Amino acid sequence: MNVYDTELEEHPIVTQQHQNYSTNGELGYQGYTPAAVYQGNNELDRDDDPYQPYPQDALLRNRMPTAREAASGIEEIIMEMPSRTISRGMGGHIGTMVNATLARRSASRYRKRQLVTQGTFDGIERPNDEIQELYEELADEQTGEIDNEELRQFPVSMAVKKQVRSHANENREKKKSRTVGSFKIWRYNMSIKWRHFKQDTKKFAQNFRLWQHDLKQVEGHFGTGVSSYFTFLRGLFLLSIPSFIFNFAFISLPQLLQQPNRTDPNITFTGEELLTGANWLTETIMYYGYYINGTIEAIPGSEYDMPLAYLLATAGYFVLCLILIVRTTASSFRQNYVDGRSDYNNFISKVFCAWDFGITSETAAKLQHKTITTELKEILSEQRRSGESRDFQEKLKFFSLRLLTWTLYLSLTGGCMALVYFVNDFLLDDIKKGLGGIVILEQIALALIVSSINLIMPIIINLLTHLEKYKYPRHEIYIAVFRNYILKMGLIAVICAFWTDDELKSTSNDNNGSATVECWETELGQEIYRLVIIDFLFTIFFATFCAEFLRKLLVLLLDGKEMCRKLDRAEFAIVNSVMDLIYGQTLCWIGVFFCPLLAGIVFIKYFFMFYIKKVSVMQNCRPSRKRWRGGQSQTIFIGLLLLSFLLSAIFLCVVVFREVPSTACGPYRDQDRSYDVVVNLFNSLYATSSGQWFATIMDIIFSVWFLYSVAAGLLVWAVIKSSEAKGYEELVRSLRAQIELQGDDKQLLLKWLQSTVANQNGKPPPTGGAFQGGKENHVIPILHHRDSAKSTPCPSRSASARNSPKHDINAPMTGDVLTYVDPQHVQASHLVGERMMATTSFSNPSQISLRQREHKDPLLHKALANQQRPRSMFVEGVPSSYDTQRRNSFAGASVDLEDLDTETVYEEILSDPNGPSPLLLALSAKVQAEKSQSSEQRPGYGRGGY
Amino acid sequence: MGNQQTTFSQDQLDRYQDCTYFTASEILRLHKKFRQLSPELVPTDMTGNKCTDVLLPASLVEGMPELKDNPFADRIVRVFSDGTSLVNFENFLCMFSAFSEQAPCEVKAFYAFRIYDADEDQFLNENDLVWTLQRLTGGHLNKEEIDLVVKKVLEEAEMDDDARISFMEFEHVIYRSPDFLSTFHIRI
Repeated sequence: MNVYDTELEEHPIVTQQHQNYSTNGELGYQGYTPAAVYQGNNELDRDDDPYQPYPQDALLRNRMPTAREAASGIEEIIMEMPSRTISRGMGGHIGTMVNATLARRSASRYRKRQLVTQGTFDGIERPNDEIQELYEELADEQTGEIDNEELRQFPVSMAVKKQVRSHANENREKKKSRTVGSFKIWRYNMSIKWRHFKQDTKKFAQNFRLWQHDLKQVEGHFGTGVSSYFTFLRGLFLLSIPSFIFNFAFISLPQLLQQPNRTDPNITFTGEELLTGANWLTETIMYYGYYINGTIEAIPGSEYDMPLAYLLATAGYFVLCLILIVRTTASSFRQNYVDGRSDYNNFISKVFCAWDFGITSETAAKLQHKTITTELKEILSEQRRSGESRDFQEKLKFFSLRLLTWTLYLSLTGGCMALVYFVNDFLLDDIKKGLGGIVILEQIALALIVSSINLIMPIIINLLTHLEKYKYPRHEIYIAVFRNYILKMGLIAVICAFWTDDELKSTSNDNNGSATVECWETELGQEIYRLVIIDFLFTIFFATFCAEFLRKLLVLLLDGKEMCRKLDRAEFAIVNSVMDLIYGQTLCWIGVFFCPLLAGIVFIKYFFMFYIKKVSVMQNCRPSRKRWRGGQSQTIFIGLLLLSFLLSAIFLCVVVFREVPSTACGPYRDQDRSYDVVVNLFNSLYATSSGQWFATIMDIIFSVWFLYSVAAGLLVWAVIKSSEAKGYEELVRSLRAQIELQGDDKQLLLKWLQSTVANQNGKPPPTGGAFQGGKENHVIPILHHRDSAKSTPCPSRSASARNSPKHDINAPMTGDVLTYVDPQHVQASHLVGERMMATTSFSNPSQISLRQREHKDPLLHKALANQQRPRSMFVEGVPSSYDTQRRNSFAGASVDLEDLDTETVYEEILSDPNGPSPLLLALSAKVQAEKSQSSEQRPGYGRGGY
Repeated sequence: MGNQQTTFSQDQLDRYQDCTYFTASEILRLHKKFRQLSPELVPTDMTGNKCTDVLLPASLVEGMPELKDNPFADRIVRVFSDGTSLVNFENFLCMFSAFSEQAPCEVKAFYAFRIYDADEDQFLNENDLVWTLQRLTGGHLNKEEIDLVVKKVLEEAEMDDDARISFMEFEHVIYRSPDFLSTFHIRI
């Protein structure tokens, strides 16, 4: 008998229990250190047992837990719940990093949740302390200022917001009156000014929202799908404004101030140039060839180096576009792909995100009802169908069908590209001869051909893709978009390749012969100009006028006739229209080096396009019967735009760095490559007297090692960022898991509480899935978890393992014990697996039926080890006194001892045929402890007692 | 600009700009809309307490062009009028602020939850979902189908197995629906 036992003998109940179950006093605290038990019982577990034996003095500390310790017991339990322990696997990520940054936000979330449960504040004035509370929640801790953004986000009524705001203002006044250092005041004032500046610029940007009304009209009638086309168009329009200004100011304007002589002054403007972009226009600021290769001295005393300006302005234009597009792409991608996972909550988004709140017309609303209904029906039937897979024959059929369509598509695309190439190369002259001298047609022949292909091919592609019968309409759209894009890029690539190929350059110069300057850059510029213009006209005439307006007229004419019932107004073809926009913008980017004013032309084109399309849509189209998933397709379109941009940037880089400029025209006529102007600039800088240091710097920058180190640095940065991203992903995943687990934990704790109360009142615990044992068993199955948590070994873990009063030590093992064994993890988790083995082998196997359950999420299952009380302890039949003690702490924490009637507890224990439940034992021991504590006042009891 | 001064005081404009996502001109435009609903009740001059004291009946607001075809119009007005069926200008502003393009997902999710919570028990239970679906589909879906959809929705959103969606759960799933922001949106 150690000190423990002598101490315990003062408590009759505990002693009784002890005598019943303990044959050997030494074992009493062998159970206390599970490591010892395992070493004794189970050879397998010896090496990697994470528990450290408790130091002897702690073991023998001869006292009952105080109230505070008891209370901390429940905290420990909560801290050991899977939802908490999961964060440990993350290396404390959740605990440290996130808590620090999200503390305030979560406070406001909490408040929001509270608001949901209470309902928002009504309009009436709130008491001051409540406002104060809200204010404190919203205000910045250091400055005491409320960010307007926070205020706006706060879902309370305006009356409350007003109050909070005026409260903040009062506080600000108070603060001002206090004496503070002048620097602090200055800094404070600056921060306020900065804040105001930010707000003002934001407001300005908001005021500048163009075509808001038109967008609203379109959205009201056609929903977000069609309006997304117009938003896209508006975005391109806005992008072209700064681009145009940039190019015009730095390239065209200086040249306008000092115009070089035209080679042939007799050519006059006739009007057809607007269409062909040739003749008179050839020698204007429109094209590359017109710009001079010297300096401009329009303003006396200043020198403007044209070649350099030309190159740098174009580069600047590209950088500007790059920044804008990448930003849009990134935000759109984040919004629609990273944050959103539409596959995961299919029904949710089809129910809660289905109604387009922007719709304002009755017909559209009716249509939307129908759309939503069909969509829901579709996914329901899809779900039913998803079980059945296509059989082999069907698969073969689909495979051959797709093979056929792909071959057809590829050959058509290849054919188109070859056609354009050969037309350019050989046929153009024949065609021109055949046209009999109509100059305009001669010039625009190629553009006409390309635009016709662009008009007809998308229709064929859509048809082909539709024939393939994709399971989801979304896939059909994506495939069609992809094919369309390849075709358009292919056509542009052929034209570019034609004009930049060395051999062709010379032949084309020969062919075109006399009148124009031998200047392939200008030729390419003209070609692209024509493509842009003709494409615009085609879009207006065929896609808008014929396909929409004439069709509407036809429908009106044939209205009511039997044979034409199926004919209806056109739906707005979102995909094709957006693809046309992307194509046009790509042309603009490619052409801008050869035709600096192209950005301006595109700007005008977009402006007209918007109004023409809008009028046409409003007058001639009908709302689509299919629903358009705006978000993700929008991202795809922006992504394609970015890709086009990068492709054209690469093409221009090749032109600038590799291609030989024409010798007869343009700013680079005396250079080997356009890029040489920059090299020359550096050389001239070296030559100046102060250029020495510059030369050194340049030498360093262009040295191989510097480039290598920059590349290496970028690589490292990319790796760091990507691993950071992975870390965040992991974090998000575990946070999600934590949310899910917390729900389970809450339920579990509630059940504990219920059972405690039930035990306390002497009622049988409610029968539920959790209460396997019924009354005689008093099992509180802690493992009623769907998941278990991954956790690293830590000291508190053993505490919880002992802590959980999961299995009844006193009652015979009649009920089945809920244990969770993940089949996949039995091997890996010696902790659980082997302990389980040990447990079963030492207890009476006939009486215990182990139920195995599979985890939904195997990731979390190690927490089992936490909650799995080592049964070998019980098999020994010795409930350690420490164990009892810990139990007391648990019981003391969950049950208010003040309310506990000691007599009832005793009666309950004595009347229980199967022996007292551990919980009751614990409770009574606790009560006893209180009594003895108060009467004896031993040394060592003291701190923090009752 | 002179017109601005007579409609709202500068202080009011500042306040509303701080509390909503609107600029001064948009606030004026909204006032115009508000006045159009009932020119007799709503004065041009909104200074003083008129922004809170001038009340319009809910039916008028539900009938405005932006809401008249919305199956949830009555719920929207109810949520934003704090359960009373009278709407003052401030509530009106609040409403369109939550639907504006600038409003973040958090705000929208909060109000969407309250709109869909038809019985106002702070949970989206089965009844709420059935109600929502009936409104959404305009009665084109039969009972079994609705039940099936409700079951699926609960399956997707549920975490704590209580057969109803709490705000936390709603927020959790709605954040990941890419279409939510674009559809829960009314242009003014």
